[in-house]
Amino acid sequence: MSNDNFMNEDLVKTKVTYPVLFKRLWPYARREKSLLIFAVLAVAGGATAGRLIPFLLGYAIDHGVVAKDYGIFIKLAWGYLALEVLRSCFNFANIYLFQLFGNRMLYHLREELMNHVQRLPLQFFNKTPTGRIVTRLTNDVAALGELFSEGVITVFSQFIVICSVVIAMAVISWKLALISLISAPIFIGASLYLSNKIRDILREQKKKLSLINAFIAENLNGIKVVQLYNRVKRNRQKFENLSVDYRNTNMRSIYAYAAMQPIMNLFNAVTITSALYFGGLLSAENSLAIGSLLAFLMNVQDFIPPLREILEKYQQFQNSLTSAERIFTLMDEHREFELENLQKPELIRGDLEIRNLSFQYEANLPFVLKNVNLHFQPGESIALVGRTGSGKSTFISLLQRFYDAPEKTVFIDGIPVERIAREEIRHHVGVVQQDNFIFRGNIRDNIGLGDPKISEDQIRKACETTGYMRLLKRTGRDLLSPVDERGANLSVGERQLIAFARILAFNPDILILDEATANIDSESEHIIQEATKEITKGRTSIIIAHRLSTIEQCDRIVVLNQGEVMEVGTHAELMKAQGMYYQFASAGAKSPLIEDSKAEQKSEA
Amino acid sequence: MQSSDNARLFKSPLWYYIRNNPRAFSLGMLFLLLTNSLDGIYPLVMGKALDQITAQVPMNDIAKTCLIFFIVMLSLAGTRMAWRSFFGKYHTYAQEHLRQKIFNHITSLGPNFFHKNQVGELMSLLTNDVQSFRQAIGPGVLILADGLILIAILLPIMISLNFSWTWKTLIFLPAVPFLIMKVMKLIHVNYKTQQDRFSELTGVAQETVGGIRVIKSFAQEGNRTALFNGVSSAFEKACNKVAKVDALFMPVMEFGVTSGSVILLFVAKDDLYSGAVTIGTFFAFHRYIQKMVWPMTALGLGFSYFQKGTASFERIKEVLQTETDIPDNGTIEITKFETLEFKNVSYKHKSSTVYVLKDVSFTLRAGESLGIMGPVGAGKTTLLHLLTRLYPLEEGQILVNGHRIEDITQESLRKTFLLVPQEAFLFSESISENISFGLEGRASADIIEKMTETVDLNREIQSLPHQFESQLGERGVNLSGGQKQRLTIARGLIMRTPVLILDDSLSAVDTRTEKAIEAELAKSASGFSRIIVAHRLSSLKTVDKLLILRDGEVEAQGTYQQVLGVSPTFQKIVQIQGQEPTHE
Repeated sequence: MSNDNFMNEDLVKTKVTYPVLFKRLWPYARREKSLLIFAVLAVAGGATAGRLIPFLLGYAIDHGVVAKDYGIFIKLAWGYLALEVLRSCFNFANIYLFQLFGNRMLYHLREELMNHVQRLPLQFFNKTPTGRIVTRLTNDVAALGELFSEGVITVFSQFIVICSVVIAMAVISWKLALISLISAPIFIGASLYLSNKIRDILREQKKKLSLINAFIAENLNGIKVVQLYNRVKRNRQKFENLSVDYRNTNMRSIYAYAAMQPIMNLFNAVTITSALYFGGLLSAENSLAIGSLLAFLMNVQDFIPPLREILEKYQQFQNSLTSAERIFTLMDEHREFELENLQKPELIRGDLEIRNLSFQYEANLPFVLKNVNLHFQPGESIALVGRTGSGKSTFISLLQRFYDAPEKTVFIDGIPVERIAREEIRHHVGVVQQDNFIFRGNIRDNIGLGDPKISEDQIRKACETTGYMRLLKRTGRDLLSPVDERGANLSVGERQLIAFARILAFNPDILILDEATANIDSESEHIIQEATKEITKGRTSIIIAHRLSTIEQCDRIVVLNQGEVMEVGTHAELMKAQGMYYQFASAGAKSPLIEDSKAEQKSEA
Repeated sequence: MQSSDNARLFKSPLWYYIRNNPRAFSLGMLFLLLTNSLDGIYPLVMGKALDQITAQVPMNDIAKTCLIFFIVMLSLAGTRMAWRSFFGKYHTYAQEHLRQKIFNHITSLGPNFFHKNQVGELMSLLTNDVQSFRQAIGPGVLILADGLILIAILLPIMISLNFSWTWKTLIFLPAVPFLIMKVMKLIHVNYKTQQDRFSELTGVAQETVGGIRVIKSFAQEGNRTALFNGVSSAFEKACNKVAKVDALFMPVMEFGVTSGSVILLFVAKDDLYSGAVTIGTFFAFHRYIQKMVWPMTALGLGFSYFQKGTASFERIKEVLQTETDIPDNGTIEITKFETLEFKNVSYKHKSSTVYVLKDVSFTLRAGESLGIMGPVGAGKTTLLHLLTRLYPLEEGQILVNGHRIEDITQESLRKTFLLVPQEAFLFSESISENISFGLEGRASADIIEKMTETVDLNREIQSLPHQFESQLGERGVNLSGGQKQRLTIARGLIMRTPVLILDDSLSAVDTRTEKAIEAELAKSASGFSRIIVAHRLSSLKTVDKLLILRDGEVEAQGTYQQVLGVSPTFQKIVQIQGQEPTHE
């Protein structure tokens, strides 16, 4: 999707048609076949019971009243009661079963979508706002459900009702049926035309409503700015314009709906009148009994309501097809690509080698990494130093296979990474990011991530080792203490500690640590320093370091600049060389932090 | 007058909106009455035709009856269209009017109101509650009237046809409205549960997408799907519960009413056999029983719309009755800045007992610049909010050019003191529109470019696909936190107000850009001043005065050296940040 039509997302006319919709939903529907069959049977049962009622009444008139058969009339009255009960039961079963079926289908669809989304490459998440993806998974699926349960099902069952009415009419008198319904195509055509108009108005209405909602949300969220910049009056004016505009569109839809009325009423008038008149004629010829005419008239009056319902739903849910299209577009996104015949290493020593690695995100973009050659020994700790844009983050993304490095450039224990499944690699290569995502729930589940393979014991031990347990105890909390959305109730330092404990619990063979630049109070700072030592112990570790104290602790230092490896060596070696690292280190010597912006200035100076 | 208008609205919202649009309302009602009358007549005409057919009268007479029938139906088409149009106008206009009223009121309230009321709730007030209010005074009133009119027309007709049939067949009918109200309530309760489950579902989806990096890093996709399936299945169950009540609604109600038709067969048989009642009458009566389904449903639905609408209007009323804590009653217009004086200003939030600011006093003259430092929670932002009248001043005095700030019009005050707030809030408009936000019109391309140059953003904007016309926000480009912050500085700079206040905005800017911003400020009208809240010493290199706040109190104020001598907080900052800024 190009970026140009982002504003018109709701407006784009969809290419999805009902047949496409059914075809794509069929795999989910198929799993609930028995529910579907019972629901269809209930529709048929309801329609049959509904049609038997006029017959019964007509029969009662002809054979009971006209023929003066007292006994039959009483029997038929009981039969009428039975039919009404039956019809109500069938109608209930029909609506309920279809809903059950639809909800089950949506459940399958959501599961599939969730599964799919999580296997999309990271690029997808970088270019698509979170809100949009979430909307696909929740609101769009719900809209599809509505389209299905209120649209498709209604249209289907009402169509069956119409068919049954037409059949019933034809059985009574096919001539009369033909005469009274002869004008039907004209009226249906006219109302279809109008309902297309209504659909367009509804689409516009939806768009204007979302404009209004966006405007409100923004003005309320940014109320301070609006007030500080004296924009209140002007924005009220803007709101008035939006609101009046929306009202006018609403009025158009009201008028259009109102115009639908005469069409339906006129149709009603024509059919019933002609049924009455010609029924009278037939009756005068004695070719139609009075009871049958009565039954016929009842049927005629049952013809219009389902037709109206179909037309109304048809317009309403045409628009929901856009939701279906968005879901299908998401489903068609390509998952992370895997080769066949992958290798599955049981144990990884942590030998990491990079050979002639050059990398660009897309063919027409500049290279982010240029001819990188590095070899890290098992258990070694490496500090990766460089300013923003030097390629550090890209480098670690390649190690975890978030992006695919060119073939045979990155090796773990001598195996090219593309030969190892992504999930496998990520089991062995663990990452602590700068800003680690914290889930709502409790502390324990944030460390174990709800993985059943991680035992309570492992979590506890991880917390002890990082020193997090002491902090928890001191603040009177435990592993089950609640965590708010995004860890809002935890300090930056604490969130960092949770990430460390996570790593220890999962115990990867290779560790990548992106050191936080954020200001942390001095106490957590100390705990984190200790924890860093703890988690790097005994495994190959690559640390994107910002603090001199961290860098000095590492076995070797790699200096990256504009995608190239500039220097490699120990702290002492590099200081002696008086190159880039030396400048770096001396600039920050006085302060505990090397800020990227400062470093940038220094190197440009 | 605004308040008397509100009083009228609160007293009787229905009457208020009928009076706002009396023509549409009364015409709508009139046509509804006509429609219902015609609707009441037509089965009679049909019954007559049937009787004529049974009696085998000449076809001519039957044709006449058919013609009458056709005319009745035709008029019905016209009146139906008319009432829908007129009535629709009445409640659509009412909805629009109320929506604007609420919006205008909310935007006059200060930030304190928004601390108490979440934006999500206010949004729901402006959309859902306004909608259900409209439902009540529009369709609610309508179907109640419709139901009552229909009953008033149908019942006499039925009684005139046959009194004993009427009461025998309709005996169960009065139960229907109550049944419906009960079912509606049940639907409402279940629907609420469904909504809650849906929020949970959204929550999990949101976290999964937001935390995708962590999930992928730890290969948790499978577990995450299992977790999602759990809430997804809970949601499904809630949906099924709603579906069950929903599915029961129509069949039960229909049966409740059609039971009348069954009774009819039993009670009518004797009359039919004796010939006391014709088949046509029997048919018409049967039709009337069917027709009673709707008015009974309408009564139930109408009342439940009313209940919901009343509850919604109570919420709306509560917000409309909230008085602003920052009334704009001042009359003095200030055009330039001479002096600013804080005199023993203290502040605490209404709901709290803890003072955020305690006895703060200082003065600032035109041309001077002030730096404010202090740890998180020291009251820095509160101080700035008081100065720009976002918070009400309750203790002490703030004097601008010798006038109390309450006496100065808010517009001229904010044209003199412009605060660039801490949180970088931008609007979903183009970049150039965002920069011109405070200006009357759009600033020229030159000026916009110059401003972005000043905040070191020009290069980054030029690399965007639509440059200055790029849309921001969820549906446009995503800027980084630092970029947003710099954009808000540009938005402030372009205003060229006598005093520019930066609340920690410089944290996103390097020292070189800081200098450029300073130089830009120096160009504006003579006597310009700055108030800068910052954590970095380098940001405060050139200010004339420092104000160190701690726990709401002024710990020290004066020049760099003066402050360094007495303020432990400042001493600690200097110690941590190492190098001393070159200070002149």
